[in-house]
Amino acid sequence: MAQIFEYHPVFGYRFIPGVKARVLHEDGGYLVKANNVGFRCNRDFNTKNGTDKFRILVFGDSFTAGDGVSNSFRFTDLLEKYNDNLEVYNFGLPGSGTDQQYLIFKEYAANTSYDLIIINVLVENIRRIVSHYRNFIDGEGNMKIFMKPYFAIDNGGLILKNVPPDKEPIDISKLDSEERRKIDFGGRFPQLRNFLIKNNYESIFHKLTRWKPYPEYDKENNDSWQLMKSILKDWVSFNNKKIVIVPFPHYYYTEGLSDPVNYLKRFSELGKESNCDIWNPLPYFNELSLQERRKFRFEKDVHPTKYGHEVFSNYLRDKINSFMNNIKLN
Amino acid sequence: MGKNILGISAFYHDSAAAIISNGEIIAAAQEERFSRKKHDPRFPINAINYCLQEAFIEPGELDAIVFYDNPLRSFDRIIKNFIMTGENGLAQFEKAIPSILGVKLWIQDYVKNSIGTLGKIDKLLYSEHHLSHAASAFYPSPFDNAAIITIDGVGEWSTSTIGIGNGNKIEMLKEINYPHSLGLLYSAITYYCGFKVNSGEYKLMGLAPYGKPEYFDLILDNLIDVKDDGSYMLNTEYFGYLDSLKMTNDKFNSLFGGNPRDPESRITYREMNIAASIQKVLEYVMLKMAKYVRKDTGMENLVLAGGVALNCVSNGLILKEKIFDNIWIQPAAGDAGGALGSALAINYLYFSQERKLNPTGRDSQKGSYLGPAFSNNEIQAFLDRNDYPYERIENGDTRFTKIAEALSEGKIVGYFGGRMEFGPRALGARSIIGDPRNIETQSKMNLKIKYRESFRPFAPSALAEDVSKYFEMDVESPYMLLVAPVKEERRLPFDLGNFLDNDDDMIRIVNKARSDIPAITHVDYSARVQTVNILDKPDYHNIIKKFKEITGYGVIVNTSFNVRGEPIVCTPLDAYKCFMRSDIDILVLEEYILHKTNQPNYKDKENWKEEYELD
Ligand SMILES: [Fe+2]
Repeated sequence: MAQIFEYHPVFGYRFIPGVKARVLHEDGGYLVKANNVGFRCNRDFNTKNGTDKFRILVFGDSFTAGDGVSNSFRFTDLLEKYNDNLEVYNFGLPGSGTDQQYLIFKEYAANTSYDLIIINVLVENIRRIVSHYRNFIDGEGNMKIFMKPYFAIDNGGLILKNVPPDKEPIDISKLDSEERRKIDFGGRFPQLRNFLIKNNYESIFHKLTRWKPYPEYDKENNDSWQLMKSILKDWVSFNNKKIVIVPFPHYYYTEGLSDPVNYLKRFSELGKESNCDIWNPLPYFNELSLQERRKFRFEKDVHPTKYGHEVFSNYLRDKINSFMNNIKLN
Repeated sequence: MGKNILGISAFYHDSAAAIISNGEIIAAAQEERFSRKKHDPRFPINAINYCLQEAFIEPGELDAIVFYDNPLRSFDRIIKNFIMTGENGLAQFEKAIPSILGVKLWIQDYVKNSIGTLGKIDKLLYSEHHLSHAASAFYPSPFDNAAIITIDGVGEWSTSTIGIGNGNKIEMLKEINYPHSLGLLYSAITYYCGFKVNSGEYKLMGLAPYGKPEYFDLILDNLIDVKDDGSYMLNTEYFGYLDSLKMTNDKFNSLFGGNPRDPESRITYREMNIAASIQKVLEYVMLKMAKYVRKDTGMENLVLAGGVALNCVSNGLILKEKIFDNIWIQPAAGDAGGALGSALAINYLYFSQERKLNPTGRDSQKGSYLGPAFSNNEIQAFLDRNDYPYERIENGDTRFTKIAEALSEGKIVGYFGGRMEFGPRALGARSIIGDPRNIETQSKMNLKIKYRESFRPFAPSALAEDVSKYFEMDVESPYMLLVAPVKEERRLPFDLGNFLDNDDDMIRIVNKARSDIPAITHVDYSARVQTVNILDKPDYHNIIKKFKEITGYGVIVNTSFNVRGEPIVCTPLDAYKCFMRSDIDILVLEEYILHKTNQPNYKDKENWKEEYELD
């Protein structure tokens, strides 16, 4: 497969600016196009005020960048398509954590004029923010481990680490066992998960075990959650009236395999503490039948399908409309 | 409304895909370039993916998807062949079944499963083999009307066809049917001389100048009966491909007085003379056929496709004899080009779209630079990710001068620039280039880069405007499909005379200077010329121009960017690997220049040479 990412000295990597590619995928393939600064967005970013359109900046990981579907089928592009007054910038970066997304915001967006920012936090991101390294499969199928920027909490404040990350892959044998545990291979038990997905056992397994995929959300004082909260609070403090957080459910929650109550509790506490809106799409999703919800993701790949993006964009459209109406009223 | 059409050729030899939009050729590529398996016959999933990427459309936006031949007709040929030859055909039948019954009949499923749709008409269209070849020759040509000759091994039932192209229409007039096939005769002799069928034909052509056509009459008297109109019949008693898995049989062997040459054994006078003889037979048939077609159709223009059209020696002769006023040959003349031809055929014959000629008067093949290109951003991302040292020279003039200087100092340069070529020849987008004046260029390129000695010299790339200064040639040959003699005044006295009949001696001979551009002059003073026009390939043209400013010569050596047995490189990674695995001195990746001496030790698989089957 052709290389579509390049090194970035602040947040680790980004799409190669201007890259155009088609990525083979279980559903055939999808078209990827990156803009002048390396985000999977059809438009080059305009940092100035310029237009009279309502400008929304969206941050997130592969669920936002749209792994699995072409640019035009993503929720961000659908929002634009159905509302001429919107201008949506997609800053999604596949494989990134909320920490890297915050760095992207600071690097490219903090000085951009915007009317609304949506931080799309895939619940799994809580695991990415505590990792210090992440894997990358190169053009020849070899796995390489690279440094990942991250934040640590020190005296209640955030300290940025691993920036700039090394360009070269790191030698795992030189890491101590503590650091080795900080490598993100994707998911909690990647090998087990792959096995289960491959054999279609996953849902049975979840039901039998009443699996709690992210125990990090169980207790308010959990270290990972504390870190997530600090990052988001820091971020929201830029403009808590214009920044909203969407805790985006993994399919364990949309398909009723796990109980979402704990992560929802944590995010709602965060909303109150930082005085910002939390948009929870889960009830909207749950209005659909389980059969319909299963179609949100692909057969094997857990990323949202065209349909998944469509439903999410419908949800956001209503939320954005009322957000815009509120502004007019005030 | 213009149509988006995807053409696919697969399952036989050298699979490929092509996409056209509103009559314009958007992209075309062979699967082997992506899969890295030479002449990959598998379903071209990567080539299709690339075509959709280049066109940047969803499969659902395709108006039609077309397969380059009719698998049922090929199947019919296998069955009839089986019935005609009785039980001996069984072995061949069994071998063909998985490829015909098991695969070809499931093509529609393959397509639907792999790209998720069959396009707007929701069914797979089938072209016919020689129609695909004919369309690939006529539609991209610069002619409003032309006679068409397609000639190859075998496609469905036809092995040669004659037709006429007029505006957006193609009419097929005559065909010669299997088992009578000039292509198969040539392949049978390729096999007999110890070269690989479907890839060694080019070597046989290169061997011919060493020999004398002593078997010419023998072949005409026994193997092939050629009529005045160029039509022919083979005497099938001599061939093995009808009833076995071999090309030739005992009767054939005794005609030439011995068994086929073992591929690893030395090449003797016998093979050289047979090569010279079959080459002469091929030319004899082609000239007769061309003369007949000229008379019969009254056309002034000729277009050619099919594997035999890659024989640049016979093409050169048709040109020299001035049978037609103009000739155009599809550079992807083999079955890969059928992907392109089938898409064009559907556009004009099924959808009846209007055909527009290239207003510049040139062809519509875009120099055959129809494959992927990589931006400077992508190349830098690759180099930085791997921490390979490079120098970036954004100024074209400075960069081209630097490359030309290196060439003039005897350095070998791996040149990677712009879109990859479609078809078997490297045309300056994925080429290894060198100084043609330098007597050592040839053996260095052979031994240290291709890892093989060869009795064939390399091909020259010459400035189109200067070509007649070096060669007896006054037309363009952008696709390296014509052979022309080196100018008389450039030749050095040389007598092929007597030499020992073994490979070493042939190599000693080919390494002797026969002109002031020795690396590209064959033992009969011929050269397989590529002319480079600034309109087709400005970067490559500029390199040769700078080389001329330095040396006075507007011509360089061009060989494909690969090691022996490897498909031509496609990506910066492929190019870098080939650079590090060989003695190429300098690698140019668009604006980036890499010197071998600066590169870190390359950790390679120890057995990388085994990755590629020898050709
Ligand atoms: Fe063919």
